[in-house]
Amino acid sequence: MEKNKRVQMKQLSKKRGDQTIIRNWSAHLHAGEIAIVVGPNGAGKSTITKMLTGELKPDAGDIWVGSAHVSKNPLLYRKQIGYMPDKLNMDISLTCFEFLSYYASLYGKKQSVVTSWLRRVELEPKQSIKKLSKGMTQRLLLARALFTDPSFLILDEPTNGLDQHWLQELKEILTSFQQTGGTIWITTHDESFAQSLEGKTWRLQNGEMISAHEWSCL
Amino acid sequence: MWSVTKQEWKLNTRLPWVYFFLVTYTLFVYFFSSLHADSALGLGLYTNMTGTMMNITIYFLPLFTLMIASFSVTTEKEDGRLNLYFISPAPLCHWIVGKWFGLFGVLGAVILISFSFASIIALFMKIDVTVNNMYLLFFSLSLLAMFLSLGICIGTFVKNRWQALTVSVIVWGFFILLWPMFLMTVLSSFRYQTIVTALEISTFINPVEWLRIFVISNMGGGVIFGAEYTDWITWTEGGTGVIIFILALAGWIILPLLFSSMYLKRRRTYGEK
Repeated sequence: MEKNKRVQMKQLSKKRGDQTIIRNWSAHLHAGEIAIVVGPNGAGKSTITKMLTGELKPDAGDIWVGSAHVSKNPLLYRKQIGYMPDKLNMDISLTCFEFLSYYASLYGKKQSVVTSWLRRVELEPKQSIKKLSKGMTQRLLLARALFTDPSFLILDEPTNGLDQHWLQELKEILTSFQQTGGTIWITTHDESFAQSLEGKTWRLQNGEMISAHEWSCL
Repeated sequence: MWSVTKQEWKLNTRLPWVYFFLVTYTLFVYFFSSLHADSALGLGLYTNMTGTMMNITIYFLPLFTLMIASFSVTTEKEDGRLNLYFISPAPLCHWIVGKWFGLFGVLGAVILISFSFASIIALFMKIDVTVNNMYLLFFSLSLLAMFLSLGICIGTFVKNRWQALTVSVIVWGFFILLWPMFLMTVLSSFRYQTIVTALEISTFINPVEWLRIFVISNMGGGVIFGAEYTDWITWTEGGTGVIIFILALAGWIILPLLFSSMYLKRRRTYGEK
């Protein structure tokens, strides 16, 4: 892992059945940088995200966050990442507070952190998960990813179900995270949202990650 | 670890099946307690009604426990919650042991409440079954503890609820339904002189079998197994019996959880392929 590079991906390759998700891809991100990966549904964006979280093993290649390698220093690696999944079937019998406080205890965070993040995403602590809309669920998952104080934030399709007001709020939250030196990885099919963010943009297509520059020349 | 236990308790106590199970189990214990009072005198505390109650418990409690435990794990897998745990820095053994304690807490409380209710009602009806019920409570809780571990182990190795259901039924079928046939088939291939030793060893391969022998023997009904077996099951009595019981119970609880932990640890460290 080279110094000053927060996240580094080297020679990543992954196949799923006959489909090549990614072939020999290398990239790095600095502290405070945003990476945006766009592509159509089924292109493999979530697969790459899952490799970054350590859920999926790449066929070849290495991933580091700071000095931690995804499989060689898994504990240190996991402590540095905050992840917002594309979808999660949460237990509907829980309230928003109960849902987050469980994860807070896993990360050794105080319950007061949960309350302040719920306030930030404008959710009531006693609100039942059963009654949350898609957008509200996304906000809850965003709070879950952020309250752990990660240095690398991974968001999979964060705009799903968000209205205009919350798209703007999301951008503000991401900007303030970025300003504190956090690195962000976003996969989305929402191109207008991707264009509204300033960061390194790639398009995932047929196993190739085409950078915004290359893609505009095509 | 306790946060996983607390979460498991919270989630399960909010499910309607727990209360349905509580009512059914209470009625089951009460009916058999009443029938027990009318049954003929048995061997020590062991009567034909105690035997029937044990057999019915053996038929449904292990299957129910296997399904609940394996579904609890596979649901978390299917919903993506297990992956979120994997991504957190929390130790894996906390999840496995926490889940075991959480489920044991809920199901154990149901069984305990059922026996307490049934015994209190029986006492009002002037039926004294307290000592018998204590043995049966102990038997049920021990069965629950072992089959919870097996269920969690099944849940970690399979991919979804359908597979969990299939494997649970197979494991239950093997230990409960097929065991005598399996023993007869396997033991018939042994030399005559080694059959008794093989039978003794094989008893510990089936969690239901050794527990049943231990409880029946301690209730004073050991003779029902026959002369040769009775000579052998003297291990169930006294201090040695208690030590063997603790070791066997601990083995059947810890080993499946250990296998689960090893398998999930590998998956968590290296990721899915």
